[in-house]
Amino acid sequence: MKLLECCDLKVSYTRRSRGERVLIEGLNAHFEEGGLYVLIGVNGAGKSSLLRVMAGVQAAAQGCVRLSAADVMHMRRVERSRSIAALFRDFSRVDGMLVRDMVALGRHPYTGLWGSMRAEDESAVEEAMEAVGMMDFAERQVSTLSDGEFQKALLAKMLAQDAPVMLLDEPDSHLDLPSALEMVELLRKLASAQGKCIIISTHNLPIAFQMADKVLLLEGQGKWAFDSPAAIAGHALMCGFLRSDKIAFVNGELTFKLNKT
Amino acid sequence: MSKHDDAHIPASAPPAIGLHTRSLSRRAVQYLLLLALLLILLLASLIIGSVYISPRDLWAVFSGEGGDLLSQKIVWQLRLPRSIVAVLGSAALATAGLLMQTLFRNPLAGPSVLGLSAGSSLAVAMYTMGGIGLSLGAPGIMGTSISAMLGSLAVLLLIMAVARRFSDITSVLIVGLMFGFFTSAVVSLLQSTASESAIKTFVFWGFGSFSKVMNGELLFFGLPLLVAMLAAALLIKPLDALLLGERHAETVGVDTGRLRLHIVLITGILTGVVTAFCGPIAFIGLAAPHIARLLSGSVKHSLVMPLAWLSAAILGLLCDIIARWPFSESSIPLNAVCAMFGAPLVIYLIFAGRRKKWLI
Repeated sequence: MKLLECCDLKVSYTRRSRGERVLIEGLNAHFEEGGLYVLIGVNGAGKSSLLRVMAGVQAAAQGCVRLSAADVMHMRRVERSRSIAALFRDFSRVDGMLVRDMVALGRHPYTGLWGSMRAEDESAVEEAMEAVGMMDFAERQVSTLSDGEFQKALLAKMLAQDAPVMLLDEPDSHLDLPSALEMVELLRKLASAQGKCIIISTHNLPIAFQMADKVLLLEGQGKWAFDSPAAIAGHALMCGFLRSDKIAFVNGELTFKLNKT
Repeated sequence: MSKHDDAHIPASAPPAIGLHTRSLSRRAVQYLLLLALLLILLLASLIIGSVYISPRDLWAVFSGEGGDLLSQKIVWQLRLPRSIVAVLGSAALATAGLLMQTLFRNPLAGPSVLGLSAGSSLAVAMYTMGGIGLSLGAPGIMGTSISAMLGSLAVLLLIMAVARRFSDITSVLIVGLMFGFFTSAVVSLLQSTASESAIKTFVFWGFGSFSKVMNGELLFFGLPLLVAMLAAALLIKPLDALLLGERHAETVGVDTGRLRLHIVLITGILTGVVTAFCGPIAFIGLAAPHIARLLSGSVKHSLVMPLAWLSAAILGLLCDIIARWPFSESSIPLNAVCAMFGAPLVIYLIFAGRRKKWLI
C-alpha cells in the first residue's frame, strides 16, 4: 500500500552569491509499506536534503511530500513524528546517557507534558531494543558503545517511535563491511516483518543494489532515476554517477570492477 | 563528547547498574540527606556571622518567646533574607547553567555564556564610573540593581534577535562571548578615568553578595525567579530530546526554534535578576548541574534539575557562610569564596565520580 509520496518535488538551496542551485527537480515517486528503498548519489547530490524534506523538517522549493494524502509540511508536529521517524547524521553521543534512556527518547511523541513513561511506553522501548538485539546493552552508557552498537541503539530509538515510515541518512557510514551489511539486513527484516516503509541513503553501492526493492539515483543537478536495482544499473545516469572510467559495472551481477592502471 | 572505539567495552562486561541507575529508595535517601544538609546549613547561616546567635537565642527568636531585640533584628532583617536569597539565587543560577549546557551541548557553558553578566557589568560600570550615577545623585544600591537589570535585558534582546536570525546556535554563543570581550574593554576604559570611590563601588558589586536584597525587595527578587524556574521545569521533556541534537529533537516533534527562544528568555530572566541583586556570580551556575549529574548518575532533566536546585542551594549557602568569615569582623568576597573553596570541591567530585566513588 502506498504510504509516502513525492509529488513534483523540487529540492534546491539558495546561496546569496551564487543564486539557486537545484538538486532535484520534478521528483514523482511513491514508497510502499514493507519496502526498503535506497538513495544513491555522489556527495552533495541532495540525498540528505531530500530525506530532510521527506521528514518535514525542511521545506521543498516546489511540490510536496504526502503521507497518506496529507502534506508532511502541514501536519501537526506530534502527528508527523508519530508517522515518520528520521535519523540524520549530526548526532551527539551524550556522556552519561544510558542506552535505555536514549531509546526512550523515541517515545517523545507519545508521552505527556513531563515525559513520564507509562507501561506501554516501557514495553515499546523493550520491544525496540529486542528487535535490534540490544537488550544486553540496555543499562550501558552510550559513550561506551562501538559505532556499530551505537547505530543499532539509534535504530532502536527510531523503532520506539513506532512510526510506519523510517528515514535513515547513511546508517552504514563509519561501519565496517560486516556491520554495515548486518545493519541493512536488519532494516530489510524490519521492513518485511513489521511492514515499515524504510528509505535510506548510502554510498555502499553493492548493498544498495542487492538489498533494495527500488533505488533512487540522484544526479545532483536536478535529474533523477527511480527504478528496480537492475534497471538503475543499466540507466544512463549511472555513467555520470560513477564519474570515472576506472570503475566498471558488471551488469549481470550487480557488482563493480575496478580497472587498475 | 563522543568517544571512539578505544572506549569500547565488550558486551560481557557487567552493566553499570547501581552506578547509573539508582533505585527509588536510594534516590529517596539521597534527597533526604541533601535536604537535611540544606536545613543544617540554613540554621548555620542564621547562627554564624559577625554576631554569634546561639541556637537557644535563635529558638527564642522564632518562637517569639523572649530573645533580645538585636537578635530578632539580625535574624529577621538580615540573616533570613540573606539565606533565602542565597538559596533562591543559587538555584536560579543552576537552572540557567543547566539550560545553557543542554542548549549548547557543552559542559563548559554557564549562565554567563550568553553575555548577560557582561551586559550587567557594562551597565553597572557606566552607572558607577561613567558618570550616569553621579548625574542622578550619588550612585546607590538601587541604581546599581536597576542598571544591572537593564544591562542584561538589553543583551537578552540582542541575543534573542541573533537567535531568531541564525539557525546555528554556535553563532549565538560566539556573539555572547565577543560581547563579553567588548564589555571588559569598555569597563577597563571607564576604570582608567574613574575616581577611586567609583571604582570601589564597581569592584564591590563585582565581588558578588547575597546580602544586598532587603526584606522589601525580596518579592521582586524571588517572584520572577520562581516563575522562571517553574517555566524551566515545564521544559524538561523537550530538553531531554535536545540532548541528542536539534535535528533529533525536531524529528520527535519538538519545535526547536520556539524551545530555543524559551530557553534564552528563561535564562535571561534568571541570570538578569540574580546579577542585578547579587552581582555577577558565575561559578554556582556552572558547577551545580555537574554535581547534579554526578549525584543522579543520569542526564535526564527530570532527575538532574531538582538535584541541581538542591546542590546549588547547598553550595550557595556554604559559600555564603564562609564569606562571612566567622572568625573576624570583616567578610570576604563571595566570588572569591566560590572559586577558592567551590572549584576544588567540584574537581574532587568529578574525580571521585570518575573513580566510581560516590558521596551518597
